[in-house]
Amino acid sequence: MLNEVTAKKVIDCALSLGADFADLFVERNRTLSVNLKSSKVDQITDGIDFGIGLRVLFGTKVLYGYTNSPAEDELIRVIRLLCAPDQRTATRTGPIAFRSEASSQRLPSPAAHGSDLEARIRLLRKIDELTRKQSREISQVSAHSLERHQEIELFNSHGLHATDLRLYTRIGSEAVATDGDQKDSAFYGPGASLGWEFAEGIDPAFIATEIARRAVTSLHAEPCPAGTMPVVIDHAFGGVIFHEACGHLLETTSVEKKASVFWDKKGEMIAHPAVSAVDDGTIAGAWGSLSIDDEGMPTERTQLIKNGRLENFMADYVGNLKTGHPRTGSARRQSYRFAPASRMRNTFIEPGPHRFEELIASIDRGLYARSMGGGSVKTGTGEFNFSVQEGYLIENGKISRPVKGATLIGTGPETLKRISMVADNFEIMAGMCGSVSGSIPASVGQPALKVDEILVGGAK
Amino acid sequence: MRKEIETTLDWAKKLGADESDVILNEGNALSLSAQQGRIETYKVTSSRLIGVRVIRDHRVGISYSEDLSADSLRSMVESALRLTQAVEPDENQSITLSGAPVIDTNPKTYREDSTPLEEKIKLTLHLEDEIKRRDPRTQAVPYNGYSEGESHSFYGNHLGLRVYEREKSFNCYTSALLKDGEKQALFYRSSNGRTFSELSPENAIQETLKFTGTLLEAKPLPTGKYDVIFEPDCFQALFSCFTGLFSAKAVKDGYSRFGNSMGEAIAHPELTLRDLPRYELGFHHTLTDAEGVMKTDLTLIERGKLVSLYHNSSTARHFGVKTTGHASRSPKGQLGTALTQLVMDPGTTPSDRLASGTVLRIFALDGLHAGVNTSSGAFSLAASGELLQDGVLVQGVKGITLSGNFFELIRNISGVGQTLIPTTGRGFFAPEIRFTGLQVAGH
Repeated sequence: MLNEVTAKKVIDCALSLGADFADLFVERNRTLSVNLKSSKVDQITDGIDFGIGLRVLFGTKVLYGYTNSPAEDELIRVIRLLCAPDQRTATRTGPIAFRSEASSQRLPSPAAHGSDLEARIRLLRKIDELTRKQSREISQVSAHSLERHQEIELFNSHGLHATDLRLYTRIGSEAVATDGDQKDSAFYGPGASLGWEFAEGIDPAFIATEIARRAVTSLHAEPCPAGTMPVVIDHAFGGVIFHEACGHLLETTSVEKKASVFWDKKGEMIAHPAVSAVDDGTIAGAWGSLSIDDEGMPTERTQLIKNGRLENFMADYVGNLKTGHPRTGSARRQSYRFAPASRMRNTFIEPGPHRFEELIASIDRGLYARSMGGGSVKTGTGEFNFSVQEGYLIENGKISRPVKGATLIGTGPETLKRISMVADNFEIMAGMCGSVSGSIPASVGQPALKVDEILVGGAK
Repeated sequence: MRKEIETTLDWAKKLGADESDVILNEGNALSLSAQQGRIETYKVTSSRLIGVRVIRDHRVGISYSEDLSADSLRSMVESALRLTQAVEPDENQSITLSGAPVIDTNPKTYREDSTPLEEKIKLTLHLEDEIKRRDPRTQAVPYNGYSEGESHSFYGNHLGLRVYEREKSFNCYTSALLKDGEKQALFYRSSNGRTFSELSPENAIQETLKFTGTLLEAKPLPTGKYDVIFEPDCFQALFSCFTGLFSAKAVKDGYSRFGNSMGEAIAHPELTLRDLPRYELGFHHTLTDAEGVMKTDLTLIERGKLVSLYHNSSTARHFGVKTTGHASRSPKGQLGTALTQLVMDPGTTPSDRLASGTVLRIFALDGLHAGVNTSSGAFSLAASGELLQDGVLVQGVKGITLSGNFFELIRNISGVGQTLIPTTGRGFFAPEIRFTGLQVAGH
């Protein structure tokens, strides 16, 4: 996408102005989305984003710019603009000899080019049709497919030249249930770092059953009681608790500013011994997996917590410079518009020894959070919140009535110590994670967990 | 007008589109942040994006490109036309507006500013330094910085209508992470302006420290029901989650219950809500909507009764009414609807009566992207604030959730204040409103 000669001249220019490091992130991104609403194909959008992100470091000071033009004079103009406030006598000089360190072996999937729109529409129509058949209370269904075909090319002043091709496919569906003037809704959105073949493996009947059941159950659920109680958080997207309560606090993006309650806790017990947690970019086809990260480093499996002890942080190049924690192939960004930052990939708590039923049976009165919505965290204090999309009361060791409107709040350090039982029913699920370097695909996962005590917000 | 608009419209006509319109957005931005007394990040960006909407046989196709070369513009149009073959006809969507060019040079949204870079760097460093200097409990200032940006938006359609609008904005923000023993608290505040000199960094610093200080000493409340007054930014954040319910598109698509409520009382009789695109004190002055329709004032709720939805031309055709000039569309997206500047009428309740008895004043809500269900109206959010007794502080409050239902919230009001208060971003103006009986979960 950008020839080596131009890349070399641009990086040489940065070094000649006194920069300690420079890199270029070239991105061409094709996105195809198909939306179906009210049983009609509502919209199809197809487009191409192209741009180049230019990063220059003076010490640990990050200068970042981007442009849509690959022309040499434009790239040098941006570099000169970025370096102007810090320009100094060069400490490093070119010329750089690029070497290809890493590149994806993945081949483009013909399906990723949207050559068969009918296949997309057929799948969405099937989801729509099957969802409406689930209940007369289903009043609206929307379904969409999103495919992203991201080509990247990286050059840096250490001589790295890397390329990668990333395919993303996600199928999202929402059902609205209505009873009189009462409405409720539910969403389900599996995704993978694969081409359209991922969608071909999806069972539309499962999606239809899932979103219809959740929407109708929630429509008739009573408000959740408020107060402190034990909670069983089910597997798969339940992992958002770890993502929010702990994962963000283990990114060097927070650690380098001491804006994480865990910044100085490496080697210490920060969780119940039942808890072991991982951030893994290597799981084949998983939504948050990568071949190389957005700085060109091969991705890896990072053990974050082992039996309650903090083992590692997630670090990018700048995070490593600032904190000394080793790089983990975790540099990620939404697009060329963002400088990379240490971010999660597929983050999960590892399976434990218990059966799900044992967790439920251990509680006299509590909440079973069967499916979770999103959440957020203040990394500096560890305070998090996340919503329960589908919840049930637990009474006398059994799952009883459905409840709605529940929110769980707490702090990461406290909650991690209160996870007392971990089940064996592990699963991961696709989501989108928003932070300093934009919105990126990230999986969360876990087996079912029992948290002994957590504050549940509800309207009753 | 930009030649890329004309080239794209020409291609759309030549390649068989019945109707077409084009949006071209261009922008430049600068942002700075500081850590440990030094500039940590310095970001300079420029961007451009063009998007075309074509209609052929009542079928709509949309495509976009960041490459503005002639070849790319042609291939963008071809792609949009190809997509029309796969979508269902939409009889309501049509591009019909013609007229003289509209050039918006309103100085309220765009003013030249020649502040040197050194001043901006100085401000950024000041935002961190002052927090640390004024409160020795500061462990870090994790979020602080300065940003500015300008954008230029061009619109053209096959009937010859051309619109140009531009805006320039400036922003600064700071935060404080305070630590005292085992207690920690984090809060941040920002300031917006149309010029550098309009920024109020001192206000951002003072409010950051005031609220963080309160949170540091805060603790949960007993679980129960409380009367609540939201600080303006919080009220806007919560209220804005539900303003989509007043969109005719949401009603048409079955996501809003307000379709059958026209003329009915949906809120407390003292509540009047208007969208005022050219409200004098507002930040977001806008001349036209995304279809080039001139924006005008619109009342949504009049003394508690729902009196209008907001429309684009497509929803207006569907419901057999005139568009209210609330079309929204980005170069990448489909035709939607959006509000501009919401203003609530002042009420009649004196401030001492609003504050009488026990009141929970909320100044931070977290989890709005997840803890709100726009279909059912339910919300359950992490909250922080102050508990007041007859206006006197009893305790800072954190570690609670605040739960309720929007449809009940706007009915269960015991007082509406007499003075309009702007949000930090000056996009929402409301008096203080005392909401009764919201559920708090605490200890």
